[in-house]
Amino acid sequence: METRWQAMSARVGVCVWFLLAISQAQGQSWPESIEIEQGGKTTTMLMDELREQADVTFRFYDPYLGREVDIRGFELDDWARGTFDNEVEALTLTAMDGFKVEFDKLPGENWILVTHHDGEEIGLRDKGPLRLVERDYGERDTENLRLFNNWIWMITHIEGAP
Amino acid sequence: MIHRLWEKRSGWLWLSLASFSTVVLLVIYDMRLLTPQVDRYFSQHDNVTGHQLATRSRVFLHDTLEELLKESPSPEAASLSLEVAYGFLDINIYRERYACTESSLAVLDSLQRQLMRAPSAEIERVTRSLLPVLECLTDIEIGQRVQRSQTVNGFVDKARDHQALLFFGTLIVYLLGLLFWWFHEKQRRATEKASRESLRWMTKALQDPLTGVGNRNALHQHIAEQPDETMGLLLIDIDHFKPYNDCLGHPEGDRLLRQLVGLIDLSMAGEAKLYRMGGDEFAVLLSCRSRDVLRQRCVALVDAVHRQAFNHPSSPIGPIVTLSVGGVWFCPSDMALEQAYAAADAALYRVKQAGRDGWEVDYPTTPVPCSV
Repeated sequence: METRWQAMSARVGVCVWFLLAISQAQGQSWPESIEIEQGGKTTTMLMDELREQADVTFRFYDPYLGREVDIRGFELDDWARGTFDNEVEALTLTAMDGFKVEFDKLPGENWILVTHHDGEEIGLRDKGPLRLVERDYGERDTENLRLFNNWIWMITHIEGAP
Repeated sequence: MIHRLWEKRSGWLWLSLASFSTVVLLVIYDMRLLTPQVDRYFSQHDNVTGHQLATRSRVFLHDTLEELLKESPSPEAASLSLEVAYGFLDINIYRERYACTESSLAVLDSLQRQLMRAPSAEIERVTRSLLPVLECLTDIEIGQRVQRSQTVNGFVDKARDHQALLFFGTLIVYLLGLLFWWFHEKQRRATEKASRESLRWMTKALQDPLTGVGNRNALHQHIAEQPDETMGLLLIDIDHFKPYNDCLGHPEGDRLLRQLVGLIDLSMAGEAKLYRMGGDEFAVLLSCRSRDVLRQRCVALVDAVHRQAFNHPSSPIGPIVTLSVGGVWFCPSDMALEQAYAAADAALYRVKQAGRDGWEVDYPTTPVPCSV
């Protein structure tokens, strides 16, 4: 009896380990939420909720990854208008390591908050779970990453202001 | 139109202006060209690529180590930092340029799995295995700095060459501008001189050299310039001027002519234009709004000559110089100069026929003068 329990425990342990390994191997899913701030008030928005809003898809060459990627996400402008009140103009996006990108006014439909690469949710090692890119970066030299300075990764905090 | 403009303005002036405009454009172009590059390389401390991504990866690796070296390490926190470190190291240009990148990423991936699988037991090994990753990050940082230095040096060299080119280019174009301006100025002065000369010759062409008053051409021109102005035309003849010359000599005759010019001008109150029509014949043109004014001027003139009493030793009609004056009151738009001149001449003829030393103003049969 004890042996059966041990065997079952071992099987469960293996399954748990496998699930953990799988989830960590693919997931890199922390953090699972971002902070939204407006007028000094901060709320939390789940990444799942954001991923559900991802309705924009396109394929482009990612200069940081050095390959073509199928992108899925949503327009920053639309999302900001829907999340904050209509008077929102300025946006500040803060990354996990404290870097910030500030927009004095809504940057336009070219800027996309990305939640998925090649159909997969992006985690930290994919520069996720939320990153900002430009849908069309024109003729900029993709070898020169300095031309993509406003692409911010690992976004954890978004502040909207009038 | 451009051709006309080119001719109207000086070609040199346009060339000069074009040169100076080129200088301005060169400077603006240079600023436009250099400023973004300067910004890109020297003003990037607060944005995503302001610090090396490898350095940022190193920060999170240190966080991982710090967490693992705590008495009660949190595998989740360490794993989180490790993930972020992975994200910052997983950059295409690092993979392409630094061979250690791939192996380091593999190490980080492997450690991540091990951390989640057997956190406490593997800590020391994890710590050791991070060392080559840190060395790789150091290589990347140094390599990137070297590359950045090379890029910046290249940029500085390029900027220096550019500045030299700009300096000499600007200098040459500026000097060309000055040269063109000088040509323009020279041309302008030559044109001005030629204009003054032409004007002087034109004035001379309309002037009687002996008395300084206008000549017949001037009379025609002045009348043509005032077609709607009622005016009086007087023809004045010095009575028996030839005997005067014969008796007293031509120099004295010339002096008399000059004196009479002054006297006529005075009699007309300085309001008339005087012309020498040839020999001893003068014409006077004055604006007057009625025949009476013209008559008054004639009376004043004849009286003034009488009062002046220039001696005329050989005159058959008296001891002093006298004048015969014939005039006409007319409007140039109604009566051509030739007609007016003929009318005044006819009046003068009648005065002469009547014994000279007198005046007569003709009454034209033509309609009432224009601006009365």
